[in-house]
Amino acid sequence: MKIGVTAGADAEARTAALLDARAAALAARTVGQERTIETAAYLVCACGAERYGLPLTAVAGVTPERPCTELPGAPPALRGITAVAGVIVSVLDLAACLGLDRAETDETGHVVRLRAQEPPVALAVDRVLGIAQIETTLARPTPESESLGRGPLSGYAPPGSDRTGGIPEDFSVVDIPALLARFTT
Amino acid sequence: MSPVSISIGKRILLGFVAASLIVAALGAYALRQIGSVRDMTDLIVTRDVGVLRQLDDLGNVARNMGLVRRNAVISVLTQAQGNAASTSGRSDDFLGSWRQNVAELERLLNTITGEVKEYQSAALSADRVAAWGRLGAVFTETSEAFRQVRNASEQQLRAVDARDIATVEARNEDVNRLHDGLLRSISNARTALDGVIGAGQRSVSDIYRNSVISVAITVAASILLSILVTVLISRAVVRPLEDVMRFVAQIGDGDLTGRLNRSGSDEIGRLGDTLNRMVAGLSDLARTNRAATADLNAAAAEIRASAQQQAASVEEQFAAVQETAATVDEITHSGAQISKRATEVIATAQAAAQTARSGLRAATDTAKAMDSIREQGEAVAGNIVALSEKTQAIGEIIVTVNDISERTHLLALNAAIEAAAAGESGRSFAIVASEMKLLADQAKGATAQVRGILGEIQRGINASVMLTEEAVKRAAAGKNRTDSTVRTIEEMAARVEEGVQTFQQIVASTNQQQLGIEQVMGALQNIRQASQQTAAGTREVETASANLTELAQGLMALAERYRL
Repeated sequence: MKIGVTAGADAEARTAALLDARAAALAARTVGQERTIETAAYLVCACGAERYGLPLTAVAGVTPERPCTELPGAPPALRGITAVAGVIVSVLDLAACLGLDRAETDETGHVVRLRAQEPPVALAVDRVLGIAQIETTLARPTPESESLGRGPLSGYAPPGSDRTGGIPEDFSVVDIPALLARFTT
Repeated sequence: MSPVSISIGKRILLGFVAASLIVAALGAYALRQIGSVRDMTDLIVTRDVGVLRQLDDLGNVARNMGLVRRNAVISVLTQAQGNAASTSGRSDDFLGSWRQNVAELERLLNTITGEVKEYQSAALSADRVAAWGRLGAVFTETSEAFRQVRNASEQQLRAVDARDIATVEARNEDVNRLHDGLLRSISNARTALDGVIGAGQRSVSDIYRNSVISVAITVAASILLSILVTVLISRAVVRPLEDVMRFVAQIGDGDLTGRLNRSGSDEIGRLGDTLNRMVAGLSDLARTNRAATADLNAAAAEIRASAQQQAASVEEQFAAVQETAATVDEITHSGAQISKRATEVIATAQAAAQTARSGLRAATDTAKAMDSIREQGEAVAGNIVALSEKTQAIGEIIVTVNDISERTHLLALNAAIEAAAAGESGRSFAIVASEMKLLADQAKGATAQVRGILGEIQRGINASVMLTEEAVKRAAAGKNRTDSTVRTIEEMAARVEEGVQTFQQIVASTNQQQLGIEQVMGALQNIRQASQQTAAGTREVETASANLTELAQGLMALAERYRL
């Protein structure tokens, strides 16, 4: 964090540092755009120690977590239902869906609303980190036969694969239809 | 006399008694002889002297008778020539006195004759008998002459009475002749008496000679008897004594094995018993003596060893005394230094007392300063509390800013999502959304940093509060300590004063100590001399113990002499 580095300095130096950092980021992005490589945008979320990327085209919006109404007889991954902008949405715990233990944190998490689902579904994550642009080859859809063994994950982006530089860490690419297939059927 | 039954004392007593008896008999005999001589002499003297006196009386009476007759004759003749009448009376007197004398003479003659006869019969020797016989014959002759004289004189005196002068004159011649014959006879009797006396003297001489001879014989006999008694006593006493002396000589040679085989109740027997007991005691004594001598030998050796050790000890003692003297000398120097240092310390302590007074003032000032420090610390604590409240407000603000940045974050994400949904037309909007998200993230990071810094500030404030409280407490404690320091300094000043007095006493004591150490030096000198004397004495003891050892060995040899 550049602000942290310059926190103790005077205001002019801090401003100069911020401007320098921003200019550097802009310059790096310009270099990436010159290479006309097909990229896809993913919303990167953190679940515990793991990070997962959701296809940005499947995401309708991000809201802060709010209280859910639990449903009786629901599977453990289904937290319950809540109302978002006048629409009742089923909230699924992404970590539970992927078979991870949900780490209990004091901070309120985020809820990612998915697009074009009936009934409407939202995924509860610990935190939405940001948007990453990665090469499409990294997240190619898996054949049907292979997806059974690999589950709802469709790819892996190694560290530094984000073209914008916003997400430096690695993350796994989540196949939304494969993920939701268990609950919709 | 048996040698067993009669004791030696009795034997000697017996011998003495025998000798005494002999001497007594001898004395008695000699006394008797002397007595006989004396009796004899007395007898002779008495008889002879008595006869001599009577003989003298006889002569006197005879001469008186003659004188009376002559006087009568003379008177008759005188009358015949002159006055016959006037003297007639006196012629009677002549006859009477004459007759008286005649009677006296006759009586004396008879007496002497009787005595002579008696003495002749009782004479002591034949010589005397013969002498007395001759004297008797003389007296017989004298008596005859007396009778003739008497008859003639009586006739003449009758004639005188008759005044017959012729007859008187006729008879006168005859009568005178007869009278001279009488006187001659009396003289003869005296001569015969001289013979008697001479015979008596001879007899006394004989008796004396016989007595001397008999006494000499008796003395010789008693000497012989005494020699016999002596020989007997010697046989009875000396022979057992020689046995005893032999035995004693044996003992003297050291042979204690023998015993004297004499018993009995006499002195030799008792002496033998006593000697046997003595020999037993001597054997016992010799054994004890031998053991004791061995012990003595060992003890003498130990004494010698001890004396040598003592000599070594005395040497060490001497060395120690020397060292002690050196040490005492050092102590003297040290004492002088102590005195000097004590004087210096007194000066220093007085300076310290001065310093303590100034320190007291400084400590009082310090206490006041501590009070003001405490007040200021309390003020600082109040200020820090106010500051803490301000940081609390800042924290709340930071929470708000964090919330805003979070919301901005989500807002930017939704904008990016919407931009992506808008497709190509939303591409530039997506860039704006991305920038917004970047700013929101930076704001969030800044708030996190500010929160961390605020936490640090809060901890620092808490620490400052605690430190300030601690400082206040310490200031209070410092005040207390300063107060106690004041008291301590006061006490210290008092102690220093006491110390000054104490050091003055120390100086005085050190001076006394110096005097005492001088005495100690003198005493050490005495001890050194005593040690030297002791060393000399120990050498003498060693020599003496060596001599004692030799003596003990000699004594051992002597004790070995006794055969037990």
